[in-house]
Amino acid sequence: MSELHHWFLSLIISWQQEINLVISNAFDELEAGEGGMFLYIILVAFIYGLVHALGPGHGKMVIASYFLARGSHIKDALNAAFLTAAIHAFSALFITMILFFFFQNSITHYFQTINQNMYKLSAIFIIFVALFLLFETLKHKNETETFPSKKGYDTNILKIAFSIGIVPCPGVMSIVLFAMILGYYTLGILSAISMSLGMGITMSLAAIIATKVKKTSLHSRYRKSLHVLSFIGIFLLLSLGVFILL
Amino acid sequence: MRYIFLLFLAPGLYAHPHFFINSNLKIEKNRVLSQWRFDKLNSKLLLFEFDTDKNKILDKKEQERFLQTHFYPLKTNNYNLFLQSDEEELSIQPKNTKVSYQNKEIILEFESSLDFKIQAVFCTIDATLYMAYTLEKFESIYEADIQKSQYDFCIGVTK
Repeated sequence: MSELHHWFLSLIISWQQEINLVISNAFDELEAGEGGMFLYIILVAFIYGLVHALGPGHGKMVIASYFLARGSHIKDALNAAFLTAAIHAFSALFITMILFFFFQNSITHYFQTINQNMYKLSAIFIIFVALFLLFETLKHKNETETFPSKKGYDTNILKIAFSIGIVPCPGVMSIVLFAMILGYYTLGILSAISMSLGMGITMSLAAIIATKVKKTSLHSRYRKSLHVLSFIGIFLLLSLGVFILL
Repeated sequence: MRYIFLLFLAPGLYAHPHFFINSNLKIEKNRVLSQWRFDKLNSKLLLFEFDTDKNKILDKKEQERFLQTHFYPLKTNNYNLFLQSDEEELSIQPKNTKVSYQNKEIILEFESSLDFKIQAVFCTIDATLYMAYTLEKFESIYEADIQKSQYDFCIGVTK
């Protein structure tokens, strides 16, 4: 298992390294007057988002644990994943802009510090969401249907997306900053949006799989396992929060 | 080489490579010469931050500021290196450290002492994956066995 994990991680990192090089070369060509590189960079940023989110982080486990605990509909799973990716990218965009305009002499140092602190903050939010879910699950323990009603918007999705998304995506930060240093502000912003769409697709997979697992158990003969799955999801969520915090 | 063990530390759940580093390593009689070449994209960001006079040359003062920010803090993790001389784990004491900017890359070079009787093991070790190390070039005066991946490597040398 460890070797498989190592192999997978190695593969993801090699792809990212390759894309990283493709992007910096594309910017070189753009600088040299190749106008077509503008769209090409946006497209590569999208692929970078898809691949980047496959690696550790980005809250895939958190989202999956949430949907395992809570259960929901595919639409909500997609909502949560894309909302998280959007907040993740927007947070990176916002912080990069602040650093670029006001802290040019300490950018990479602040990248590191901000990221570390945001992880801690995110961990605290995740713990709160887990505790809230635990409270709700215990409250509705005797009810057979644990899915949120189809009517209305599940505000917990916003909470969970915000909890994970506030950690700025370092990949987005690097690309946006690179573009801004070269004076391509619009391209930097468009690349961040494109990258967040790519990350959203990858993160959706985790959310959809968890939703499907929960749904399968709801319609199976083993409905009693629903509560067990909920508690497993909450336990995972809580453990992730504590693990990141410590 | 009988014993080479890779330190495949399970990277943290939130581990991300921030810097992709191509590493060149040269093992000589009593020292290891390390060269870390930062990826082009991050080199641009680092140059923007540390080349304050914007002449694309990192002078002594700019180099020192770079080292203070990105290299010296690694001391707590033995500069992301694991060095075992025979059975004893040694701490890395980098010497002749310098930083330069060449061919659009930030290059960090340093030496570390190497003293062993039979066998030494030299590996990268960064569970946070903040820096992903790819071994690009390797030279050694000793017989060597290498295990490497896209983000770490481990080398065993025998006299």
